[in-house]
Amino acid sequence: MLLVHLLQMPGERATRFVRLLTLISFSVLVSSCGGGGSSAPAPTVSLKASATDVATNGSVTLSWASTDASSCTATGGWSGSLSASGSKTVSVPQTSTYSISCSGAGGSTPGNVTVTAWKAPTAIISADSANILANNTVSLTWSSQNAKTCSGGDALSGSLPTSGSKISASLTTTTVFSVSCSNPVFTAFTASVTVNVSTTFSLAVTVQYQVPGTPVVNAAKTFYVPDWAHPVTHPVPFVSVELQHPAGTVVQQVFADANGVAKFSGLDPTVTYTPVVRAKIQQTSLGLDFEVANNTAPIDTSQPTYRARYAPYANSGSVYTPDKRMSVQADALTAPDGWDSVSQTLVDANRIAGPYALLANAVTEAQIVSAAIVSATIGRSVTWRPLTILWSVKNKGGLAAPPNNMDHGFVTGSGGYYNSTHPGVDTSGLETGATISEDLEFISGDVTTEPMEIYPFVLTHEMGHFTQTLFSTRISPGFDHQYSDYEDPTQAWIEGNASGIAALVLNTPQQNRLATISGEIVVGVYDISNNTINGNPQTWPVGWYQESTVTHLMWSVYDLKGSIKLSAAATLAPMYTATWQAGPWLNSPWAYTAQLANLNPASATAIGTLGDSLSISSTGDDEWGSTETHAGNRTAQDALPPYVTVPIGGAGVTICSAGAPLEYNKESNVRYVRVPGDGNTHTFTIQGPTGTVPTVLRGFLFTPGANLFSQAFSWPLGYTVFSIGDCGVANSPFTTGTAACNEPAVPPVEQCWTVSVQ
Amino acid sequence: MSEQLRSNRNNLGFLDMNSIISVIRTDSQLATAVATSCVLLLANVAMASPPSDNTLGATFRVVSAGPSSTVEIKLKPSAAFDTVRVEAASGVGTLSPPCSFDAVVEGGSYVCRVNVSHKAGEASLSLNVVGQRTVDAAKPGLIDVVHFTLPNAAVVAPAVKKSNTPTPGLLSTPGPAAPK
Repeated sequence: MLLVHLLQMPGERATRFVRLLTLISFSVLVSSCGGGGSSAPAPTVSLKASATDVATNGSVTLSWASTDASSCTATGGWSGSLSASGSKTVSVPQTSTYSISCSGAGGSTPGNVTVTAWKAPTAIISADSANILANNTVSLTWSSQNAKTCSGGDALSGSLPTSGSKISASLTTTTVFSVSCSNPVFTAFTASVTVNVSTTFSLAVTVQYQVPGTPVVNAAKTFYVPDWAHPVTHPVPFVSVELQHPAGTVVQQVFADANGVAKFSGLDPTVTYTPVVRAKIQQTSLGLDFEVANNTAPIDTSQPTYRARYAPYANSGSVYTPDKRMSVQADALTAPDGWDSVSQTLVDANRIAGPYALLANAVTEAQIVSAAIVSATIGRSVTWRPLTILWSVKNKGGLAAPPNNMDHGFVTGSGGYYNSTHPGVDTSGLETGATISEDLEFISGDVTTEPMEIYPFVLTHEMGHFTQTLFSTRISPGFDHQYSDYEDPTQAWIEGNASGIAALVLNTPQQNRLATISGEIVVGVYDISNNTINGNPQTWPVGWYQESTVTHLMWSVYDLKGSIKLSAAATLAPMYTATWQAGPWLNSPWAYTAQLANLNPASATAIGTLGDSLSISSTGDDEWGSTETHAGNRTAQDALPPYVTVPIGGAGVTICSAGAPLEYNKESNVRYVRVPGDGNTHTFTIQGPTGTVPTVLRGFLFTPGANLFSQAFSWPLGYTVFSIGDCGVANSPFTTGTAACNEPAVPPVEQCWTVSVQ
Repeated sequence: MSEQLRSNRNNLGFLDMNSIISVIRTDSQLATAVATSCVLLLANVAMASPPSDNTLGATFRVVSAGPSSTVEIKLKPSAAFDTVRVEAASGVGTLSPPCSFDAVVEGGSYVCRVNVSHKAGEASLSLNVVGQRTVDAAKPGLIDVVHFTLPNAAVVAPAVKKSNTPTPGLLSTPGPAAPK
């Protein structure tokens, strides 16, 4: 009522009235506060930012103004007391809301402004397949960060949400899809994906084989058995893989890479293919040409050579029906080990893995040995000869005497061997005819004798012999040998080294050998690092005369738990050096320890100590074993020194060998002689006791029936080294060998010879 | 094979050997020939096998051969065995009588004879002489197996000339890009 009357008053009169009213109000306000009075106007405030979008950590100036306010307070993205008006520059580390509250007599009034902090935008776009066959679509998915807007580019057009997906049109050619995303501060980010479109497809076929896990103790805790329940798979490097047309023709053939992946391209997606793997490999950089052939399924019995007579194993996988959408496809082929978990037996028909396991391990060994050769002798070429591995589920040893029958798979000995030659084979598979140069390994597969493909020790041991023949060996007596034997030092080296190479390749000192007992396949775990079988200590001889000692030596040099810890290449290196090739001494444990110490001077003391501890005199010794004192199971006269020097023109030297007939390759059955030559011709004479037949080079040179061998030779400068012994002892792998000696009597156990060069 | 090589070598006169050596090495002096021959001889003779065990000291003798053969097995063990027995391995049709020995002692002599027949169509039969001994009851036992293989003269492989047809058996696992 009062306000209405006031509005109706003329100016001057109204002014006076307001003054009066104010005075009254003040009196009322002040009165109400104890003295009465009137209300003040509420403050006003405005807050503005110089920019509402800035780069993260950028600056922005905030300006504010107010009325009827005496002060302001900042909160939110900033803080503190502010004057009633002003401006302030702040850093913007993140999107922030800046608030202000200005207060005056009329109260407080808030205000705020939000500033968005932007980082550079990113975007990603993908297709569910980057490689498709023509006339298919792809599903595109994109997303972004720090973007406000996105738009499509190339084959993806229009405005797009900052994330999403979309099905493309049917594609006939390779197509690019792009998305560009931006924000108010930064320039747009563009991401693209290319979808390759093809009318043909490529196929990557991975080939692998299955083997049981490392041996475990059987349920009855009586034997180690293969861990059939936990098989493992490994790739088959460089193996031959082909795709066959339904009509049986080969569409493409390639060799897999080092990971066992065979890559095919240009394939017709409307055709089905049968993948076929053949057990042969070719690896160009090392020149490897290995194959595993089925010798019990000859393809041409008129052929005497194994490569022509037998074919590599060939196994097919399921028919491959191409996917109709993808242009890059994959398949994996696994060769099973043949274990039937229901019947708990190894089923011959299903033992597909055998040849591929052998191939894969052969390749691994070739790679390791090649690396060792290269490291030992810079610039030395590594030329591998073709190798044919004969394996069959029917292969076995145990034949009492030759001839072997390769087509039927039975041979003398253990059923596993390497040789660089073999006799020809007649149409029935029997060995006969002329000698053929062809590197081969025969590997047993018969379950009831020894399925040697299941654990690779035998294969890698025989591969060791192959590498010796190619790259290091000078003498290889060969034939039967046991860990309980006292062996010729060259035999101990050759066999122990072959097992040593196997240990490095398999990275274990344990050698797994299989047998079948009462229908159960069991494993004998031989550990040459501690001379045990299945953990049970053995009384094998320890010294230069036993191959397991050589293997132990090599393993200890390499063993990461040992004190020397040389690499595999360094451990193998001594046998590949130029010094080893040119040295007059033979391959023996002494040659190895001396050369190993020379090549590794920092470890020479440890190598010497190790060799000494194994009864191979090594500290300060030379390649001749000149300081050797261990006589093995012979007398010192029959065993030492390892090389007896026979000077030209000197008195006859007494040299004693030892052993009975059929002790070929045992300690002291031959003795080694070195003659320092003068470049002239002299007569070499060996006089033996009545009834004996002295022989040079294990039956190479002898006079049948005579106890005197005498022949003129020219002796070049430097040492000439050879062996002497009794013909019936040294030439006796088989009884027919001794027959040629025409020995008048059984030789005494110790045969002493008077040897001279005049 | 070794006999063949040996026979060849023994047929070589010294001049013949020298001529061979001279092809290999330019210095065909006699002594060099000896040393080089060593390489040729022994490397070629070698038929390297993995180590084997025969602590059973088993030897075999075919007493009579035919459709049914009698095989004599002698043991001269260099270690004691809890049991030793003759087991039929691959290719055995019948094996009788059973042959086994308990508490076999080191250095002892053991002998038995078994009659074996070939399984029809098998090119050979094999006998396993299996020795078992427990050294430490807490560890798996030791085994020694010696094989004896007897060819079956009645099985003669026919001459063949055929192609190498792949055998199924590889397990296929199509990849993620392949049809399921």
